[in-house]
Amino acid sequence: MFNMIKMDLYRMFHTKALYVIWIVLAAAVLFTTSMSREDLQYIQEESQENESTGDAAAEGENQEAEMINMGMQVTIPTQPGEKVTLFDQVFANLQAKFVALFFLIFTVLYSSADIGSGYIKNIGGQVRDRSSLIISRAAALLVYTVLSMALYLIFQAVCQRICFGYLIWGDAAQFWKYVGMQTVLHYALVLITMALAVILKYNVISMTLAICLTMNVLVIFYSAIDKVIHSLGAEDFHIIEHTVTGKIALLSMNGGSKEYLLALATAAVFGAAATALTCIVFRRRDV
Amino acid sequence: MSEILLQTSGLTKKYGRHKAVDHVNIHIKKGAIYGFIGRNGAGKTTCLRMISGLAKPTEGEITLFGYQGKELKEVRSRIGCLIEAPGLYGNMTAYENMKIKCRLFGISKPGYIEEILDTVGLKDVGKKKTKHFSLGMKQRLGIGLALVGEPDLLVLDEPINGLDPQGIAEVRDTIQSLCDQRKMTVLISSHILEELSKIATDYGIIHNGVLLQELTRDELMRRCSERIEITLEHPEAAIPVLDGMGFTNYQVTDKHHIHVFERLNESDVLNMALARAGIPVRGIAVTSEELENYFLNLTGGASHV
Repeated sequence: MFNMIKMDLYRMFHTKALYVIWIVLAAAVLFTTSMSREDLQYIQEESQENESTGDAAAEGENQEAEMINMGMQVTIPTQPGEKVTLFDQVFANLQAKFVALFFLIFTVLYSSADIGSGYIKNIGGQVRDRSSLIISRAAALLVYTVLSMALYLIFQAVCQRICFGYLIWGDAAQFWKYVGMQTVLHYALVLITMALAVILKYNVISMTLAICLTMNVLVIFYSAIDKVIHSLGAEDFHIIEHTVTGKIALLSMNGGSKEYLLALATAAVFGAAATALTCIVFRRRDV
Repeated sequence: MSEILLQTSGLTKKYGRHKAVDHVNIHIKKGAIYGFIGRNGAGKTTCLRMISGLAKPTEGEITLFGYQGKELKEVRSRIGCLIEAPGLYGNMTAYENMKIKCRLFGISKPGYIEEILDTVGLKDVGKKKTKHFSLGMKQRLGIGLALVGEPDLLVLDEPINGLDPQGIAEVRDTIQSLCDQRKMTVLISSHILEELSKIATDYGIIHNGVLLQELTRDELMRRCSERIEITLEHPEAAIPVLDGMGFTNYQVTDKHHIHVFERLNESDVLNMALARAGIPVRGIAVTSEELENYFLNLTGGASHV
């Protein structure tokens, strides 16, 4: 198994897409951070105007508009008059699944590369158990997720300094707790994407589904399930609260232990189920 | 008797209702170069994929190095394979492609990859990405990848497909030298019998998923060589006559034919001797057969190729 992980890591670090995606991520982080600065300036100006005119209705309309949660929306939680912390910006980018999008694109490319190129034929028959190739891939993707999250934080800190002219961390303890949990949730999402890429075999379909996951397009599907469950009597049930993407979007900055434990359990269940399913399919399927 | 390294028994693969491989029984001796011949779609690749562990048989058993069933996984790493087109990462060099497989086998010996690349004639490709390789170079790199981990059995599926005559000769020489130097057993498939006949020591002929014949090189050569072909009603009646005339190298091939492989200029004398013995001869002629024709006749004629 150790040799397989070494093989998958070698392959990962020799994949051009890894570096291309990191570069694009860095550029995109710079873009969102600069846009956040613009947004903040606009909100502060608007807030000052509202204060002077006492127009609370406009604010109410804006908040209502923000309830529609389709597509990607990077909104920092900083209140007018406050300084933007790194935690604010990280929260905005992670909960919007902006960073996840890059993770998933790489995961699809990496997970299906050996199948697409046919390289799997060179090794698929020579391993004792073909599902171990999936476990080693999952291990390599764990390294990728942690490394990419660390790089993202560095990019974000640099962009923060460039765009705002200062770098404030925010609540350090909560920050690391939040980043740690988001890393776990992102890894679970990566494992789900790996399952899609390996099981479906077609990059285009798995990439589309992965993007749909990050862009909340499946909300339409979830609401249909919710309706069915509501008709059974559980009116407070919302399936999105029990999904990995839902947890990524809804995890609060200063959540309690219960919320974080539930998020961890969701990540563990979905991650393990996706990996197990991939193992079974990959072992049974002819190469 | 030579040790059997690979044996299949009733090997069958079904895709839906279609039987791609139908109860195939292959026997490959240790050290042999086994030529697996069949037309396109005959079931060669499916057979090789099952032997290589890339596909699961619907029925039947594979015995490899004495192991079978679930125990097979113990010896899977002793097979190196090149199935269909070589599977390579186009954006990587030959060295990097090799390195990936070496990592899997835990091989970090300095010079190991260079040695294999040298064996397959790719020592000087440098940092050229494999997507820029010619088909022949890709095939040879595919063979190189199959050699990682010093396999005892090399499974090569149509390794000369699409190659020019020089490329075919290079691949053939590589396989021959691997057998001579590394004492490997090779299972090689092709639909070109003429090419296989230059290196193979044993043959299996497959058609429509059914193994029609297994024969050694000597048997094949004998069947294709010049001979006196006698057509008669009762071949067994002619045997005392042939023995009486001192013929020893002959074979009763079916219910109506005897092939005599010696003294080809004595067909007239033989004809007269049979007539004197009261054995009616329907026909007698000196004939020979091209390997390709032999294969075509066996599998139903050229019109189907």
